[in-house]
Amino acid sequence: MITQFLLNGIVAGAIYVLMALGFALIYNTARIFHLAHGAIALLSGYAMFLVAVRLGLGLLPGGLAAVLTAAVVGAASELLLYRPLRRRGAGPNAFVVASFGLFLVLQGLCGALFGTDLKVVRSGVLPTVDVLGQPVAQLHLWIVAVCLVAYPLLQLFLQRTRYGRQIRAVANNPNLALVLGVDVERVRVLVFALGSALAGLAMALIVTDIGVSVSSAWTIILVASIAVTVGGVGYLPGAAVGGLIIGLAQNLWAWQFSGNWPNTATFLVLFVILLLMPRGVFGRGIARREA
Amino acid sequence: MESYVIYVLTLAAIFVLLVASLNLLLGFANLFSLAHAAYFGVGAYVAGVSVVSLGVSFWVAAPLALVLTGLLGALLAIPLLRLRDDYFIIATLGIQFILFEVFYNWVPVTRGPFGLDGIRRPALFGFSLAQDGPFFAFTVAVVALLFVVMWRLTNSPVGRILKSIREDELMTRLLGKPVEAYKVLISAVGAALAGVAGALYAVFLTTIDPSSFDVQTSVLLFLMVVVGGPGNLWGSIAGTVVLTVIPEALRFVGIPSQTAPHIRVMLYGLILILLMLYRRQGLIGEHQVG
Repeated sequence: MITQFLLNGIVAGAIYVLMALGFALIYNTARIFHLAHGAIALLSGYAMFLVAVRLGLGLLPGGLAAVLTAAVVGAASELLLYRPLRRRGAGPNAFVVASFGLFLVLQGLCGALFGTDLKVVRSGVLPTVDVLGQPVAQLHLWIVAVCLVAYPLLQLFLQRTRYGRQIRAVANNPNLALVLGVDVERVRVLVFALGSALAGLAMALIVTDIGVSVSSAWTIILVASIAVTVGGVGYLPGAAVGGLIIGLAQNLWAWQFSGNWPNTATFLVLFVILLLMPRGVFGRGIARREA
Repeated sequence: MESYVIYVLTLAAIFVLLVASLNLLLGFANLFSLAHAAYFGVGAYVAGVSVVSLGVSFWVAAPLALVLTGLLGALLAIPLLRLRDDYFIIATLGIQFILFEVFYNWVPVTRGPFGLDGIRRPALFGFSLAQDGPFFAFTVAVVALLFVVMWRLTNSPVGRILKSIREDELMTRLLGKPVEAYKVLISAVGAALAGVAGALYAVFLTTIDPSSFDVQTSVLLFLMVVVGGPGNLWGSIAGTVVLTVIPEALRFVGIPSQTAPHIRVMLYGLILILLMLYRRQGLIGEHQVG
C-alpha cells in the first residue's frame, strides 16, 4: 500500500524538481523572489492547452508552446518590471509586492480567458506498466525520465558553456562579474528565460497528467519556494532534492492522514526544516538571518 | 436600500479595524504578513464556537477571541522572526493555508464548509443589538475605540521604536533595543485586533464559513494596506474605502459576471505593480514599501 504512495511521491517529486530548479536559478542569479513564477507557469500550461486542444495541434506543439510562452513571459517580466524597479532604487520588499502584482495579473488573465475549471490534455485512459508490483502510468515514467535527463543537462550547461559560466559568475558576485566584463543585465534576462522555460516544461507534463486550473499557480510557487528553502537557498542541487522531498512528504502525508490537507504537509516540511536545519538539508544554504 | 447601506457600512467598519491591524505589522514593523485573514478567521471561529457550542455570552467570547488570537500571533511570530523578508512572506502564507485547512476540515468544531450559524447578537446593558442600526453604532464605537488605542500605541515610545526598526533595523539593534521582542509584541497586538474584528464579524453575519478567511481575503487586506498607505493609520481607512468602492463601481461598467472576479484580480495586480513603480507609499502612507 505504501509503495503506491511512494511511487506517486517520486512522480510528484520529479515535477517539483523542475519547478524548483527554475525558481532557484532565478533566485540565485537575479536575487529576486520571483513570486510570479507560479503564474507564468500557469500561463504556459494554458498555452499548451490552447495549442494542443483548442487548436488541435497535439502534444508536441503544445509542449513547445508551453516552454516558449514561459520563456518569453519570464524574460519580459525582467525587462518590463524588475529592471525598471531596479532603476528606481526599489528595495526587496517592493520587488516582492510587484512580483505579487504580476502574479495576480497573470492569474486573473488566465481565469478571465479560460474560466476556473480544470483543463487537461489527455487522450483516453493512460497505459500502465508494472513497477514493484504496482501499476504505474507510462506517462508518469516519462515524467520521471524527463526530470532525470533535464537536471544533468542543466548542470552541463551551467558548468561547460560560456553562458553557463556567466550565469554562475553573476550568481556568485554580480558586481565582480560586471567589472570582469560580463553583461549582467543580459545574463539576468537569460536566467529568467531559462528558469521560466523549465517551469514551462514541468507545466507541460502536469497538464497532460492532472491538468491545470487557476489555483495551480499558488501550488506551484509554494512548492518551488519551499523546495528551495528545504534544499538550502543558493544551492542548486539542494533545490532538486527539496522538490523530491516535498513530493514524497505530500504523498506520505496523504497516505497517513488523508488527501484533504496537502498544503499543511508542504508547510509542515518547511517549518520543520526552518526550525531544525535553517541552512537546508545539506547545510549549504545561505544563512537565514542577516542582521 | 437603506438596510443595504447600513450593511455595507458595518462591513466597512469591521474591515477598517482589520486593515489597520495589518498596517501595524506591515506599515510600522515591515512584517509582510499574508496570514491576516487566517487570524481574522481564528477570532471569528473562537467567538462563534464559544457562543454557539459553549453557550457563552458574546461579552466573554469576544475577549476570549482577542486573547487567543493574540497568543497565537505571538507564538507563531517567534519562529518566523528568523526568516529573511521573502521567506517570511512564504511562511505567513503557510500559516494562512494551514489555518484555512483547519477551518475547512475540522468539521466537528467549525462545521467546515457547511458554515457555523446561529451566532446570536448580544445585548448591551439590556439593550438588544439584534437590529442592524444599533449594531452598526456599536461596531463603529468599538472600532473607533480600538483606533484610538492603535493611535496611542503608534505614537508612543513603543511605536517610535517600531518605526525605527522599520527604517533601520541594524541601527536599532546597535542601540540596544530588543528587536525580536518588539516584533513579537506587534505581531501579538495585530493578531489580537484581527481576532476582535473576527468576533464582530461573527455576530454581525450570525453565520460564518471558511470562504471569508481564505488567501484571497489576505491578499485583499494586504492590498488595502499598501494602497491606503503603510505606516499611516488613516491610510487604512483610505485603502478600505478605495478598494470597496472600486469593485462596486465596476458593477456598473458591464463586465460579464463570469469574468468579473478575474478582471478584479487583474486590477488588483495592476494597482500593486503601478504603486511599486510610481508611488511606493500608497495614497497617504508614511513609509515607502521596500
